[in-house]
Amino acid sequence: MSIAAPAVGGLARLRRDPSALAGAALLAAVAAACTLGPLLLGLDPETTAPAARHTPPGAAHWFGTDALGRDLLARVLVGGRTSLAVGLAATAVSVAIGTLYGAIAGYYAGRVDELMMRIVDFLYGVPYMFLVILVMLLFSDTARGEPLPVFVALGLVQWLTMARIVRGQVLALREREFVLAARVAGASDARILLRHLLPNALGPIVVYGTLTVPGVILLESFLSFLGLGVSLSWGQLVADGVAVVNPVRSPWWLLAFPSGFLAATLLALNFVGDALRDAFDPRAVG
Amino acid sequence: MTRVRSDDAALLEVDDLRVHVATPEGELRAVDGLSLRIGRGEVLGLVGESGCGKSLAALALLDLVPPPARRVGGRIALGGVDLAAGAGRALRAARGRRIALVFQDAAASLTPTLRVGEQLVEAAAIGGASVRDAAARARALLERVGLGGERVFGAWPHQLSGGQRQRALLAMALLGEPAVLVADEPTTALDVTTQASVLALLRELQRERGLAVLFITHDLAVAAALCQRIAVMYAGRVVEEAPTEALFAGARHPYASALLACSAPLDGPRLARLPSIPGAPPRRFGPAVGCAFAPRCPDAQRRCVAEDPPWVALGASHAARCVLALGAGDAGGRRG
Amino acid sequence: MALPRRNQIAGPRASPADPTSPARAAAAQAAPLLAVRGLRVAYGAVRALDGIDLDVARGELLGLVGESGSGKSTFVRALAGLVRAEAGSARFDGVELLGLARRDWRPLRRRLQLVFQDPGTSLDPTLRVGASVAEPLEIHRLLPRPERAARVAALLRRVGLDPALGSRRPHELSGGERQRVGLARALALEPELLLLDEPVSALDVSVQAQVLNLLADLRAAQGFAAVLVAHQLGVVRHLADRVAVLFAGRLAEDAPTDALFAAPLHPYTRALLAAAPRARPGAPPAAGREAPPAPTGCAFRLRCPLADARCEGEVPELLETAPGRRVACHRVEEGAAG
Repeated sequence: MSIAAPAVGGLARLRRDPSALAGAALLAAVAAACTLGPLLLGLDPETTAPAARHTPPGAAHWFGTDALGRDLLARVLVGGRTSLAVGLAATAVSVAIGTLYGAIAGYYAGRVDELMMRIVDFLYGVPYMFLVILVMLLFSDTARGEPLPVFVALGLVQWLTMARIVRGQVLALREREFVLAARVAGASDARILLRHLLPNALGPIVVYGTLTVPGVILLESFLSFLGLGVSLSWGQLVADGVAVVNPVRSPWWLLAFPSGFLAATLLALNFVGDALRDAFDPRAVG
Repeated sequence: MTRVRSDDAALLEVDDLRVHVATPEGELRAVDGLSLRIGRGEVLGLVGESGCGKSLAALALLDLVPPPARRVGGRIALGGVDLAAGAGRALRAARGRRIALVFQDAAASLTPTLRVGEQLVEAAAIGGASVRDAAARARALLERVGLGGERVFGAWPHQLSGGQRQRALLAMALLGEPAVLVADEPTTALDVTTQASVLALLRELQRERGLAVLFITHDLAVAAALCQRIAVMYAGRVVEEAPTEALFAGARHPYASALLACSAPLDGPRLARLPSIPGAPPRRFGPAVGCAFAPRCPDAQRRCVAEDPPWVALGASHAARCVLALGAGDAGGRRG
Repeated sequence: MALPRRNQIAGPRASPADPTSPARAAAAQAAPLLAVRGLRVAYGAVRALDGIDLDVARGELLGLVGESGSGKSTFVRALAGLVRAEAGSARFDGVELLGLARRDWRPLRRRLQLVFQDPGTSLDPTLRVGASVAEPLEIHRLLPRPERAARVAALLRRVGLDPALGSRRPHELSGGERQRVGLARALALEPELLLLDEPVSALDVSVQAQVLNLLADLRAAQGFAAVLVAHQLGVVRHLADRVAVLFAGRLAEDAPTDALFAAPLHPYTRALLAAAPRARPGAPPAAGREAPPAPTGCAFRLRCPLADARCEGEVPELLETAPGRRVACHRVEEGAAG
């Protein structure tokens, strides 16, 4: 699909935004390190070395080791894979559901919209953690710790806001003259939705999607912290780090490196998301 | 410098006004050396098509140019005193008191959450008047613009018709007893019948208060109904300026005469085809070289593209920025 | 076929004096292309159209004038199926349009097209303009894909645009170019009836003239009928064969163009003409009384210099005063306005 015309100017503006550039560069670096790092460095996150437990950062282990002597650098990078994958996949789920749901509600408007949006309101009212935990428990014990239930659970929670945003966009667009023109030309509902309404709502979808990723990563970390997440992720590592950090003689690196990576990634995603929002803002001059 | 009208009693003098707009393609010269004179009690029409810079020029007179546009030069003198010097502080001080502005969109110019009367009283009290005096003056002015009585005073803006809102705005603009009123397309959004009555009101108010009015419009016919003189603007500059009768009797700039010819008339024989101007108005980025209208001009010559057209005086208060006017007028008097 | 531009009148009530096309007029008399009867449209409690009877003959251009809120845009939108009618009938070549199922609309879409006022908003900003012009052809599967590009180029050329512009997006075109693209899209299906909703109001005067000339040329070449909605009387006078004047959702007057402008009958038509600014000095527009439409009786009576007791109590009916001329006014009927 071609990019929306206003987006062309938006992308040009994006290239001139230093915080967006820095954020994008950092994200690219983190993603590259997580995907390629363990391979290139020949590291394995599960190799234990009882003799080398709680080794501080140094030449042998750049990020130190944990209580079982596992290399923390390897664990942070591999854990980052999981966190990023969960973030992207759950966001994809929420964007898909939210866009479809919101577009249908906004396009048919009236009573359909009323009913569909009341359902959204109701789901909003349910504490989201409760929902997530419920979904996680529905999966069998064997599946727990696998990424799939986490994707589904997080995606199911996050689509609500996306549905509201898309519904609002479509509701505003459907009375625009170019949509009426398509109707006059005899276009079907599907054609109007897919060819005219959604491409024009793409800007907000991309922006909100980008801002959903850090939210999902954080939520996954929280789930891991509660023991409901994926076995090796940043959230899990932070949880482990918190458990062993004590004020007397502390393996601080176990907390510092995973949380540092987590924080930097969230920050970078937010920079990019904010810059995208500015770039797609219809009020911006271009 | 030769002026069209070497009238030293001119109340508002604008010289070489420049407004640039920062765009991705570069600095757009939206107002590119605009010069105008308006005498006391005179109505000058500033006529041009969208994008010619007329609205930005109006906003510049009140130091209201919105970013990314900005006023980059020019003299704006009221009663001989330059208000544009000093980063526009004097312009802002004069705003609403000595120079007032009425916009096209009356609905957007009134605060939707305040009753019409409240807004007028508030505006009247800005000068430091007591609330009672302010209320009395607000009521008197509403009465004057034909909106007397409690109904309008206590109404919300959305309860008024378009014509009533425009009248209320006129009243609000006049509260500060301005010497100059800048009216930017004040009747364009109105139906013709309402437009006629708002124009009639504007004419009455102008006469009874001796207001100098800069009336900005895209419609030459509306300008003809109200203005003593008309300045036709194209690509940021005035290309012809003349008393209304003289302009309609014989416009000398090809753009001005084409603009006069191309609207479908309401009487006379029905034309098989309307005279039209090919192409679209330009957007000028660099310094102007040659005549901005040359690419659309049926009579363009080689020198029109090469050199800046001269400002040719064609008689009392009549001048055009065109080489074709040269033979007829006193050559070479340039302005701006 | 090059139809004579002027005096080409072919209304169901066409003047018998029309010398150019008696046969055409007679044929049209038998079966108008569009016959609207008693059309009513309401937006909630607001009645936008309150019983409109109008015919459009084949090849005829009907001008529709009135102020904002008179219902002129609603009229064409109701005919295009964009607004639901409350009551009435609109037969297009014998087929009832109102309440037509979506499936049954589809073949009719080819024959009846709408052009919008604002060319800035009526083209999808995300599509190249060539794709917008091609869309009706795609929807109706009129041409095999390889031939569509050539057809789009031909359509763009027909409206006076360089076919290369087809690869641009709307925001890269000027207002006049966009409205030409809008026309090309509407003409892609070669409609028999073109509904033009304020097609030049958003354009600069110099560009208006270009588009009006183009409309005249296209009509001469393709012979479509049209309903031209406009608030500028000059525009309607220039193009229309016949003019209908709307006030507050009802027809005030309906007459051949030259007759209407030479001798307007309804007091509202007169006020409208008197208030229109003329492009010459010393002819200031005449201001009339300002008042909202009256809820009872004749809607215009609060602004009417001729109104009397009868106008207050009784809604005037649209009556034929001469062949091809109808007026809804008690006082005209009584001879007071003559």
